[in-house]
Amino acid sequence: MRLVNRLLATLLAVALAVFSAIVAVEIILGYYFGRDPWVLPWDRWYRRSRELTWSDRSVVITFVLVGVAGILLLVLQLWRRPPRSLPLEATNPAVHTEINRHSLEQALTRAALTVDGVSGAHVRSRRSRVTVHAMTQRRQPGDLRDRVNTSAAGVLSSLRLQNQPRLAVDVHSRRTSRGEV
Amino acid sequence: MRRDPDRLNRAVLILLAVAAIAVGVWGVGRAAGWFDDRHPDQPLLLPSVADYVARNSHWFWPVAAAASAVVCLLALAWLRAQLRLPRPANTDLVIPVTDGQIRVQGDALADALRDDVTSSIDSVERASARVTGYSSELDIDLRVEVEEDADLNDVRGRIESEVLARFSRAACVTQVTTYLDLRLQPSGRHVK
Repeated sequence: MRLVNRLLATLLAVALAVFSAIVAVEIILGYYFGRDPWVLPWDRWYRRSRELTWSDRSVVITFVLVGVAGILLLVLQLWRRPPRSLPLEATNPAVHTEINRHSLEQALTRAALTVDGVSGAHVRSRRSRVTVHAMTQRRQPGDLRDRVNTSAAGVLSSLRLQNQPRLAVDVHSRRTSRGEV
Repeated sequence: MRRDPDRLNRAVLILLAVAAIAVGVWGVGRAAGWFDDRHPDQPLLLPSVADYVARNSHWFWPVAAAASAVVCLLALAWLRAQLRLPRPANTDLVIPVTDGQIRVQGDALADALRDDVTSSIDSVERASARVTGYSSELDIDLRVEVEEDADLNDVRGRIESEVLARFSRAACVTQVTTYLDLRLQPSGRHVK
């Protein structure tokens, strides 16, 4: 998401900078020197804007598209994304310590994989919740969920996170259809 | 300590999104006659607007050109924020002494700190540091990769009480603010 935003921001910034610079130059050339359009066909736009009415189909469609693009962009920006890192309890006011979220997810995945019977695992963490998805080949997972929970909770508690996230564990058996314990 | 443009991007994009929604609603509203029944049949460039611009062209166009130039500068600043590196470059430390001043290269300070962290704490696999600021007030951005089975609290304690204390003494700096970014790595992945 951050990469998408960065690419979008770069493209928009370039487009905005180029367009506004051309507009400024066009105004100076047209107004102060009485010159014809340089890059932007503003004389054609001017004539067209006097011919088109607000209820013309093309005008309405354009405004609808602009509004829809705005709504999509707003939804994209308001979507809550996981933090890059999670703060740890402060032990020294001059030292702000954080743990990288991606490395924490990997450590929790490895902790889940150490549990006997777990054949695969992946972890997703948010600001206040960590979810461990573990896979097993066993038909009856038994107490696997509790053991994965204990293993992951051990890693989390050893870190002393500032806001301890809630831990959730799902165990899926590959032999059955995605059964949860 | 990171200077990603994430927050800036989000703020600017929200602003642009709200502006686009407002323009879209306004245009559709005029076409539908929400504001005035006569509007749907009026030209896109309203005669009243065209007359106003013509009457006030002596100041309108210079102001429009200036506004475009300002937008261009803001867009360039936004673009520059995208191209900056996420971590700041090291700055040289200037220590005032009675006969003048001593300049210590920031790169050398950062390398010394990195080497101290990796050599003095066994469970640290790798580290990198950035040192910025002044002799009176220094900021350290320290990124440390630690073996995941290590006692993280012990590692933190040793960095804070031993490594950073040594660094402050050596650099003759009293006030140091440290941003410590820890990353867990599988044990034995890297041989020092």
